[in-house]
Amino acid sequence: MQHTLENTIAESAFSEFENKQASLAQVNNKLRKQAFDAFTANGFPTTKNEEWKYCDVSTLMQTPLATSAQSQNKTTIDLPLLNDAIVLVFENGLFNESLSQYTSLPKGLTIELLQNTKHEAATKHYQQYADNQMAFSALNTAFNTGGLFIHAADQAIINDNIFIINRVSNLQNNATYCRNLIIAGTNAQMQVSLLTISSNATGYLNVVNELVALQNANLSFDFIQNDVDTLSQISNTYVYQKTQSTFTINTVTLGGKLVRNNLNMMLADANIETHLNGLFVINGKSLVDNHTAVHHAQPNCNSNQLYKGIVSQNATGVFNGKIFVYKDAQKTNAYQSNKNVLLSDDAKMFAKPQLEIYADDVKCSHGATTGQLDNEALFYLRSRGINLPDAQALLNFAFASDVLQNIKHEALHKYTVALLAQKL
Amino acid sequence: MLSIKNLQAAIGEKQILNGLNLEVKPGQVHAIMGPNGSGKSTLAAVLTGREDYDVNGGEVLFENENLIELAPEERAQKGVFLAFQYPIEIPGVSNATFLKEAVNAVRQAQGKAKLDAKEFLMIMKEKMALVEMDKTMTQRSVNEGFSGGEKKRNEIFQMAMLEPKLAILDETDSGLDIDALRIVADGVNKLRNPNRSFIVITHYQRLLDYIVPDFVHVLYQGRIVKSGGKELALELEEKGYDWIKEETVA
Repeated sequence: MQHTLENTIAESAFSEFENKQASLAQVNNKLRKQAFDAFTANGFPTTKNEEWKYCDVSTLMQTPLATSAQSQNKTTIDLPLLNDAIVLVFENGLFNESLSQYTSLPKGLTIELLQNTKHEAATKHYQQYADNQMAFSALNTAFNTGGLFIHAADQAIINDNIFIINRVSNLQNNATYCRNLIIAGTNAQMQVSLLTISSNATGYLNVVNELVALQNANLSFDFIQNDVDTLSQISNTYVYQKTQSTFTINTVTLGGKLVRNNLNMMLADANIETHLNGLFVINGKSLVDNHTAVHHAQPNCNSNQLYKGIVSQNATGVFNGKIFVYKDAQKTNAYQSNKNVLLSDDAKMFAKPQLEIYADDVKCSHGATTGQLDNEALFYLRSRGINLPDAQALLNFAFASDVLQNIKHEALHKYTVALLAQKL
Repeated sequence: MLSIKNLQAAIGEKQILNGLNLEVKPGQVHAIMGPNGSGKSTLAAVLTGREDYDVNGGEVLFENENLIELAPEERAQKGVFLAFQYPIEIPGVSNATFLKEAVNAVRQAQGKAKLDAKEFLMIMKEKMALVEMDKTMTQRSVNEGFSGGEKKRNEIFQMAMLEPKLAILDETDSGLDIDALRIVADGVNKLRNPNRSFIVITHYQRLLDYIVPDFVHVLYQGRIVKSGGKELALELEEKGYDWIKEETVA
């Protein structure tokens, strides 16, 4: 960090935080300190940094680093899809026991708070993948107010739907933290969804997910971001996969002031399959910036990437997708597709696919298109009596729905489709 | 029902319709024939409100209302239907969803109650039989991956669902084999009634063996240059268009 004054403020915030949350901090005191030091060394990214060119976080820098949230919103979260599911509710970064439902977990499933867990796997994997060189990721590690550890033991097939609900409400100019470590053991199967919702909130939510799929595991993660347009969100999701594992992530962004999603996938072994799907539907002055990086480190892996955006009014969308194929990663199949629709003259989209290939026997492709709704299709619908706004909504809906089809959890799919319909 | 007077239309700098006149009364079937480039498809496009065309003269009255001023959806809501020469594929929108939206939009505009899911399904089933349509086709995306014949059948199926007052068939016979042609024509014939009119645009007389017109018009250089009964189509089939061109020049 360049400015000494900022450094001093940040440091006093950190030591104050350490004192206040002594019990929490102790668990991974060292990790917090390391992360904080990395942050103070690098500071916040600016738009001079190529990776942050379109994503100006200078307003977030005004937000105090440590959360001051204490009181909890008691309003129940009334979502039918949560019936019969395992639900973990976080309010302004703090676990809300009374709104959560996680008694009688199936065999092989462990759910504990990160700050309490003594589980061996938690100690082994926590902060192993998150990158302190990423400012917001480092801040999350330094300042998080706890989080979740979800573990499917080796061989465990978890059929339950697991929801993490992160709600930010009645909180102004605060940074709140969401931290998750989710591990699917050898041959295990699990599906977890993270929903971020908010009301009457400004400042930003800082999310870090570390997701691990061990050998032959099948892990899927649905990430639905539906925040109010006064709250920003910066998420860093790290995926680490071992051999023969399958992983799917669906990132759906339907709201938020400034939303930046960094998704980092490490395909550390051979014979891995991974799917990254994303959809953002934004209006107003929202900015949504999806950065993905897929690292093919070993041979015979497949990665498939589909990101779509619908940008209207004065909103801005950014997609930056990197695929790295390492020297040893022969027989890699890596595909990336990014399609965007701009619905107004002032809507903006910046798309940048990047391939770095160091192996010679690979199949890689990428395509990025940005356009408007198909006029022929619009005319066809209108010629059948469908009014222009409905015809547009129908086409947008069709455009977006093939991303949502990847959400295998039926109730969540239905919920997301309904949210999308509202948004269009 | 439809009264076209001295209609002139251009696309860009190119003038295509040069004073076209046509009167269509309820229940009548008018065939419009003519060589390539005579303005047949332009007529269909102008009547249904395609934006690329500039109407720069004359008028089109549909039930005494100026059609040209209306948006495409308003024309459809008032009962004008176009069966497309090249139906558009719309991935991701199922045929059933599309038609339910369309039927209810038209009903709403006409002051009728919307159909609920059950009523809609019943009507859909009935109309599907009309064009011998497979029920899987209603669940598929609109025209996506449909064969040429399926697409045209789907057009007639949509027409059956929307029950227009005036249907314009734009080269509905193109790309159809003889069996598909018969199915499509049968569908149209079943929809003929004393209140519903048709404008059938075609290159070939073949379609008119199945859909027998009351009048046949020859369009050439953006004008109707000859009109007659159904026998005119046979004459054209036999002699081609050259004699008409010569007559026009003369």
